[in-house]
Amino acid sequence: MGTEEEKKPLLNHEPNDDEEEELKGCGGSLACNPRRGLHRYLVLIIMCFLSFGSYFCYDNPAALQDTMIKDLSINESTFMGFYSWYSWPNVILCFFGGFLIDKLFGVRLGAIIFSLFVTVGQVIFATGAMFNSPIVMDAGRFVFGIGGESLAVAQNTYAVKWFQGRELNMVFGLQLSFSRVGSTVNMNVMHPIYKAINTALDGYKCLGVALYVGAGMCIFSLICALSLAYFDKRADRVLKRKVLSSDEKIRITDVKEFPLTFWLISVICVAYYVAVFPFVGLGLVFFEMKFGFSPTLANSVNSLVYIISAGASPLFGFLIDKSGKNIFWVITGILSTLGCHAVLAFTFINPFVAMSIMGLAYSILASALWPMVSLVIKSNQLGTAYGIMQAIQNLGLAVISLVAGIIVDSKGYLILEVFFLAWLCLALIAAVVLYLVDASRGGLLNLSSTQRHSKPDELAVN
Amino acid sequence: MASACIVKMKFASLLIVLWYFATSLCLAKEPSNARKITTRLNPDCDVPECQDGYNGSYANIAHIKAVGSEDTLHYVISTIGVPSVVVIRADPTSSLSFNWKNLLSDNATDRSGSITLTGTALKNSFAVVFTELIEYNDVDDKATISSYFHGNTTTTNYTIHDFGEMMWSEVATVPGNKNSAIFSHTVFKNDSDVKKAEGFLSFTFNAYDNTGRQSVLPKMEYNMNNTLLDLLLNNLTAMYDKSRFSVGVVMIGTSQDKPDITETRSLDDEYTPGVFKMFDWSTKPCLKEDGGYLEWKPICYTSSSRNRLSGTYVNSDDRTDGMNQKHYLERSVAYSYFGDKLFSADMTTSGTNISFGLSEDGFYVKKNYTVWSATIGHGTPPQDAISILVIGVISAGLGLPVVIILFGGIFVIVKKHMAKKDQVMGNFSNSYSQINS
Repeated sequence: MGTEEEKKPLLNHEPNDDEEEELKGCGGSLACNPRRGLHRYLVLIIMCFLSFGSYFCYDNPAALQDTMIKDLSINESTFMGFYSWYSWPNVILCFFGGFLIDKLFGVRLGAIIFSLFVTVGQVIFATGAMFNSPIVMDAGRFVFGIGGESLAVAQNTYAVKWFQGRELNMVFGLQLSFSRVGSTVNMNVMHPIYKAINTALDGYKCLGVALYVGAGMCIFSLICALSLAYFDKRADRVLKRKVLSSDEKIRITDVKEFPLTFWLISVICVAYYVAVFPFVGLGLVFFEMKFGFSPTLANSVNSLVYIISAGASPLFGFLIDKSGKNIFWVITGILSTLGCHAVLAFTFINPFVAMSIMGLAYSILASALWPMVSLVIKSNQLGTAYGIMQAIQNLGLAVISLVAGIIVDSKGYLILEVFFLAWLCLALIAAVVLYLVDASRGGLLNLSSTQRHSKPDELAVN
Repeated sequence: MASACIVKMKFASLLIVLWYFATSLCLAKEPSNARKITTRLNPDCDVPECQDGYNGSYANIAHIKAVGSEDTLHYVISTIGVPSVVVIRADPTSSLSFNWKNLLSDNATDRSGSITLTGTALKNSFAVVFTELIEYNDVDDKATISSYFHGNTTTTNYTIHDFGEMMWSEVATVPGNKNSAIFSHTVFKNDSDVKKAEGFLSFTFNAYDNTGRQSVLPKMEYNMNNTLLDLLLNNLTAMYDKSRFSVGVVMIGTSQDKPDITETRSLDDEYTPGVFKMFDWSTKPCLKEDGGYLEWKPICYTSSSRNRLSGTYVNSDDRTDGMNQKHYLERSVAYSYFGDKLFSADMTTSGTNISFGLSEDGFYVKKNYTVWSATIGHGTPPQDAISILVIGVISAGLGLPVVIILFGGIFVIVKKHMAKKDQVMGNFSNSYSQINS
């Protein structure tokens, strides 16, 4: 009868010869097994350190502001140029970072390339200082900038690849905290390093060597990028992961569909960030001169914004996720920062108070602002939307860093604070208008999270 | 028609009345305490020391007279003896006369009273005397003169340059301001080395009859009650590797109140970016509007372009009661005017060293240039006030969101109210069921 047929298997499939790979020896141990959680968490640590060097070196100028100005005989506007040149490449590059990683290089090679840019940029920066040439230093910051922001994109891509779905929010929060820790360490460590080198060298040569220490941190991050590439390739092989293609394409033509609420969110983003980061850049000399702080103390006050946001960002992210009402939180953040700047400008109250509150306010705003974009933009346009927001933010930082330096040189710190207050007022106006526009369209940005989760259909942006 | 015209006319006349009222108010606000300022250089000069100089050095006096409606301020500025500024307050019609022969005498009794006032002397005249120029070798790079100067340190680390031994050029006015005087010296007369003639030290005084600010940093405020002083140390040949300079100053007040230095912290660094402090040395520290003052910001500049980068600190520690400088005071024109009353209980002195430089700034020899500005005047020392620009920006910046919130809030409430009304109306119309279905 059909015994031949009976012997044939019912489901027609290939004989199974690509069995699961046997991991032998050390590779099979708990810590090295990509299938086990412990390995992923160990790799997470390396992932967090990927952009540590970049964040450490980003604020090297701020930590060494007074010595840089003295050793290189530059004024504040030239000094702020170091920040400006970091932001310029990112006006264009943040559109292409995702594309470069997704389509061109892949995340492994992309992370290594961007780490290289970061390291080379910092080395050029330090060499420029060794030879007392601000122009070379500007070029170094430009190269550093090309790598810096794109490296963050690579880090995010790694996170999504390894932790998709399950613990992604926590991982993002952890990475951000780590980066902030890098900035804080920089603020508190660079002056003692400079002093230690100062016993042997003087002037700009001392500055150059101190900046080479920063380059050393970048090399450490480069090593992390190389090890991550190895582990990632291995995990791909063991777990047979397919290449993720994100559906976040960049299509500039989508821009004309973006609603008014998105542009208002962008305005808030720019207006707020330009009142925080350039201020930290110029803060050292301000705290030294107005409050009579020593450079070490002034640096620790300056680093408060970062260290507090390192701890508070995940916390507020969690809180705001639970409570919703994002616009309310955004307005709270802006008002608090307004109050902090006013206190720093118009009183002699110890700046520890104002800077701590600023750190909290910055965390609140960052945690509440960025998620709003996903509420107003379709998910397949999110890549473009974030790219545009970051481009505008970098453009704003590039220009305002320079302007802030010029203002301080000619008109002093009080006028500078008034300038920042004006930008925060603009952010406040945009936030209020955003609330009104949003309220007239149904008020979905400011829903509490219970309301948001109970009406998922209405929220689907179609 | 006629009533409209009457209304228009009444309105117009009201406007005219208001306008007259406003202008008369403005005119009434014309300051009645304006001063007329005149300057005489070497007034009543009848000896060769002030006319052609003597042994290459000139004896100089500048008399700046600021005549007001209630008083006159006579600034007697001179380098005879030691550089001093005597500010004499007297009635509006007063005048000063100078007996040069006695002024330049070596005999103290002759010098006493060689400057005489015709008129009634008012209270609160005062004097500022620059007693000596100290050059010290800052081996520890701490920029604090007291560690080298007092105590039992060796004398090899400082040198006192006697102003009295200096050779002064003829006093001249600053081009562009007829109420001014420049006193500059060229060579340290008794020093054995021949110093380069390009190096010089100068005191420049500028008086103005209006209120304004210096055009260069530190943008000190001047008004008709004070005079601007610039002290310049230009290309002086330093005696040590780590030379720093300091000038000894004595403040003399004509009351029993001890002149004291007050440090004011200011929020506003609009005029001098980065500098948040102001020092004033008032002869009546508890009632400053009656006294005289020397006011300065703790910054001096190491380049003639006076930019922020070239700024360095000015220290004024090391306070004394000024009596250890008595021998200098006796040679100054303060003694020529006040006489022995200077050392009586009716007048009080206090002294300090104004030192230039900050730790790790490279000492005087880095740039061989130091310029320091101050004001000397009568009344309350001017303080920097927040300018209108700042207040305007803050009001606009904060006012606008408040306005938007107000209007926006009203708009949202009205909209909600309208929506509710529609709902209610809708309920009413729904309650009527159709009769013919």
